[in-house]
Amino acid sequence: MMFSKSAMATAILTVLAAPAVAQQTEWPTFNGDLAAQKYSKSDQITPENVGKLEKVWQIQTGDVSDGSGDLPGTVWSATPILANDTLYLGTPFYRILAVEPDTGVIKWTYDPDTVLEALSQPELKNRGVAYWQASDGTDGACSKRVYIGTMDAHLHAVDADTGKLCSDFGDGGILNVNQWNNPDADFPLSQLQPPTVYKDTLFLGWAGKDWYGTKEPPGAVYAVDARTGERKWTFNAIPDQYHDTTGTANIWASMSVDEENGLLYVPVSSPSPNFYGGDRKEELPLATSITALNADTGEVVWSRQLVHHDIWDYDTNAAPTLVDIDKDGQTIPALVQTTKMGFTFVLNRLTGEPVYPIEERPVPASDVEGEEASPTQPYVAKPEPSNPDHWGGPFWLADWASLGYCSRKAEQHRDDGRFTPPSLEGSIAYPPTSGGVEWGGGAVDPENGIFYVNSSSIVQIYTLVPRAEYDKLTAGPGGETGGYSPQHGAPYGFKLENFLNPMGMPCWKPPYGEMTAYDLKTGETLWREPFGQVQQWGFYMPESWGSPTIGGPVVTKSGLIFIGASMDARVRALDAKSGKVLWKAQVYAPAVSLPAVYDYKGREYVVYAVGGNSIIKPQVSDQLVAFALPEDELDR
Amino acid sequence: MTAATTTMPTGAQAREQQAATFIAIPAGLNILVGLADYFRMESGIAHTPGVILVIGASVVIALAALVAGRMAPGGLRTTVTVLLLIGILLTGLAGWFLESGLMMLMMGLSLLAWILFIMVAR
Repeated sequence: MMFSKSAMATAILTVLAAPAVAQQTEWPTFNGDLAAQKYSKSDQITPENVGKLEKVWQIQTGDVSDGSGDLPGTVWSATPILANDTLYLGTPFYRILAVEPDTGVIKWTYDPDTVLEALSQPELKNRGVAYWQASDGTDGACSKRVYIGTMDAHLHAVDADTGKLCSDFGDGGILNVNQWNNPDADFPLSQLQPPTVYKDTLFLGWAGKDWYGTKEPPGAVYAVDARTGERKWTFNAIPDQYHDTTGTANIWASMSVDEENGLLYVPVSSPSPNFYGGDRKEELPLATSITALNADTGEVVWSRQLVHHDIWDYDTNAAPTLVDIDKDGQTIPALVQTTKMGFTFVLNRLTGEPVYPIEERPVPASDVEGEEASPTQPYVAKPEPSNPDHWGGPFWLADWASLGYCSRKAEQHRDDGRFTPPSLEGSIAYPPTSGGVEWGGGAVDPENGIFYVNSSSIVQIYTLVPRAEYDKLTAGPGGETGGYSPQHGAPYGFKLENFLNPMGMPCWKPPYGEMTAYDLKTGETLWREPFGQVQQWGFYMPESWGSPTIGGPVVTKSGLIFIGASMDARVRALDAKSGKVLWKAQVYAPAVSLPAVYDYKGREYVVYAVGGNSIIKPQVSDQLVAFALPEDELDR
Repeated sequence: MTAATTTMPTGAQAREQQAATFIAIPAGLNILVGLADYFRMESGIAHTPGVILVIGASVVIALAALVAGRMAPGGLRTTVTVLLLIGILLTGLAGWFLESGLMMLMMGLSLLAWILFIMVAR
């Protein structure tokens, strides 16, 4: 074969003139990698050209419900997974879609034909799928698999190339995780968060109703064989002797893995019932903790409790981010744990010891009969908390517009700042269970040790309601909606309210959401900016007010932060150096998922699953949308 | 033979009607803008009460402008004219909060026409 000189020269020049050709990077797990860094090495899209991003394809899955019909509403927080030259996606109807990464054309779908009922959550939820490839290099059918869990606690394993069930897994390709549940449990061990995959093992947590009662299934992590579904080990966060008085402390969020040291990090949630601990006064050191397990055996290597005797539903709700920090001339193998309280715990991930000091500070006592709040709680001053210790009093505009309603209401409630226990008159909770920082957690650039995280500023009112009164209040169909939690078996039910005026305006001051950059090497805050916009009835509030957020960021090597998360149904790219918005696009609902950032055939894509979440806005969608630079921009 | 008679608008009346029509046209276009935004998911304000409010207000502005242009001078027309101004300003403000540049543009044009109407009004 002969090439002309001019053709050869053209080819060489084309290669030389394309410095921004994307490297081949995948997005094979929920958080991008097992260290949960949410970091993309892609650098084709830069702060200079991100303004040219355009929508290159989208699909609508059809798996969506606003709850007005026969089906419960949907909450879709799936991160799309790029592996095996395919984009894999789970839906809130628990289907798997395999999609061509550059066109959005669907290769195959898998329908588990599962029950679509809100068995353990108020809505149908899904956070996507997991991908596994046989570590021994075997080839053939089911040597590469995609897993999806269901609300009724089944885990389905299908061949990654065909979408056919892998019959050697569980029972004909389906593992019944609920076989390990209590026989008389109030709910199944719902598999909403995809398994964490490490070597040939799947680590399964579960989601349940920790607000429902005292005696609930104890929080567990199951390690199962990726091929067979056979259980290898079980970790239990609640000691056996307390199973009659409490439960949950489960792991419903994603996990991370230190592959070098074989450590699995599990973010453990609060024990049941969420808001009254009078029946569980014993030490439960693994509850509301970050715990490191030996990935091979499930043994606890170390654990650090982040909230003692949790009566605020401060679940540890995100996989910790693992990153090495250069500090004071040393390289520290660190772990960064964000929390609903707005504290960012930076720990040595091999020992659990703090990199920055953690103080035990006195906190308010409970005045509720039967309750004994912990006298102290861990407090992290550095990095600076995302939320201050007090909510700051009523917002003048909301107060003025409601003729003083916010002020009057505030005076009626107990308000002793951070860690004010729930009370009979109602306690102002700040930050409340909705955060602080939600399950999206943060992202880190491992090359410079800068950590980026979105946070919310929300005020809620926690009210314990004596049992007889609670039963009267919630009698009749639909009684336990509108923020009521039964806490069966406890002397109190519970009511959760957002602190709004009668017009629906927040009674607290903006900003309602922010994005912050911390330098992990020093613990200092580099910048903090309002993020997103509140939208009510279609009207946008000022950008300086920010927005509550659900979902998290991804940071790229080129210095961009991609994030949806905000109430205004927009996705954005921020400048990692300043937090300024460089690009934004409208999508069909709040994109409460982590975006996937990957390169495919020389082009960098940013893909969002746009599902919505009723916690921030009653707007749902089934949109999967991909953004990239225009073709002609790639040639420059 | 009795000739059929029709009342022809005077020059001033014609100018008033024309200016009022200039108020109504952008308001009418704003209805179309609102409808497009209501149904277009990428608008960011699809299916929201805010857009319905703007569409409704634009209908009222357009009709009120046409009526005002044909009213005889007097207290009633003055009242309608003032209400028109309030409607235009508030609808423009709603467009600002909806972050719709087109809605603000249409109400800006209606406002200019309203000023013209005041200038030519008897």
